[in-house]
Amino acid sequence: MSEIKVNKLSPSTGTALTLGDNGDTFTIPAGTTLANNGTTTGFGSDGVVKYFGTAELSASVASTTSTSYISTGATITVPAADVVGLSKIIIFTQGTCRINKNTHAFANFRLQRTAPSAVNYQEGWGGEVTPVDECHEEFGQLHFDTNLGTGDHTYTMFCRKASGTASYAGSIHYRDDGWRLVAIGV
Amino acid sequence: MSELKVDKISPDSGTTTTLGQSGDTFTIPIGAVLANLGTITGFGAGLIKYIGTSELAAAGTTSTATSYTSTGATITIPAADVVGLSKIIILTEGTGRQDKNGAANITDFRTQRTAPSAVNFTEVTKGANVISGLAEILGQRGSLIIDSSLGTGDHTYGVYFRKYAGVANQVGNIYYKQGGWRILAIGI
Repeated sequence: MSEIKVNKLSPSTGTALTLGDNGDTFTIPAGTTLANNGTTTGFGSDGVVKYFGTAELSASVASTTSTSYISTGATITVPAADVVGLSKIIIFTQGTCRINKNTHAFANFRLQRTAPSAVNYQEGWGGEVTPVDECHEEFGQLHFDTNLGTGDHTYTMFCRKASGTASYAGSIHYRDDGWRLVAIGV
Repeated sequence: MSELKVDKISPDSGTTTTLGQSGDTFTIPIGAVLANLGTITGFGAGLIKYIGTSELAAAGTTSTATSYTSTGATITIPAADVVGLSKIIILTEGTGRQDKNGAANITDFRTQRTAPSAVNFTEVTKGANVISGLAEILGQRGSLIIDSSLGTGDHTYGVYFRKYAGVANQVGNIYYKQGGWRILAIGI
């Protein structure tokens, strides 16, 4: 095996230097570093996902008869340092609730951004105009936050009687199956 | 500092050349380009190559369609971004309301690929056969589909709906945009 020792490799003419021929292999040994301060092409994407976070809220007994939105306690925070450089945060939530009958059995669930400023996303509806005593609904929601600020970004699931109307539900059991939240930053 | 100026570096024997040893650093200077036309290993490129999102605003529009009809919720992955993908994952989410018709209150929703060729993915059915009550059902809808038969050109996906099984008496009005729709596309 031959070896040359130099500190710098440069093209002898022009601006291009070629490594070998078809079939050759160039090896970067374990422990060495290839530091890129320039531009690479053909090395694949750096990956479009810059942040990935998850949160879970365990199932427990919790109910409300509120006609105003209240927190389920299911929340996820994207730390300020991880928000830097993001153009969008995608939030996916999933949980189940049990709705007892009043005149109806309807509930709203809504994702809200509570920091760094308040944003209310499109509410979801679940339930039935029904003679049955209770119904069970799954609330999986997908939302896109494209108006990012600075600081921690916190998202929480809230619930209420549908439309804020007292007769639209009895008790809403909003943690029957707990909650799971995923945050993806791009 | 020593400097070697050549136009090409090749193995002296065999087909392998090694760059330095553990602890060494090789730097690509600012403004220089390292172009890979061969095969690289160990560079850890991201697994997710594309992410796209789209939203359709909520509206109280209704339909009594027995054939699959577009909700208007669509997402397109541009042709240039499809190149190099092996799979596109589509996640949809929305809320719908449906009113009873006779003894049933059941709808079908499904995701369809409309370009570059038509593909109908598995439908999601929601509702119940009714003796009394259930005049209205509201609920979240969504589906997760995996398209592993990609073609060339733009790839467009939409959310479609109909009365259950295409039968008129299976449901009354379908409020197919009650909570709008959100679509997430992931390319890998």
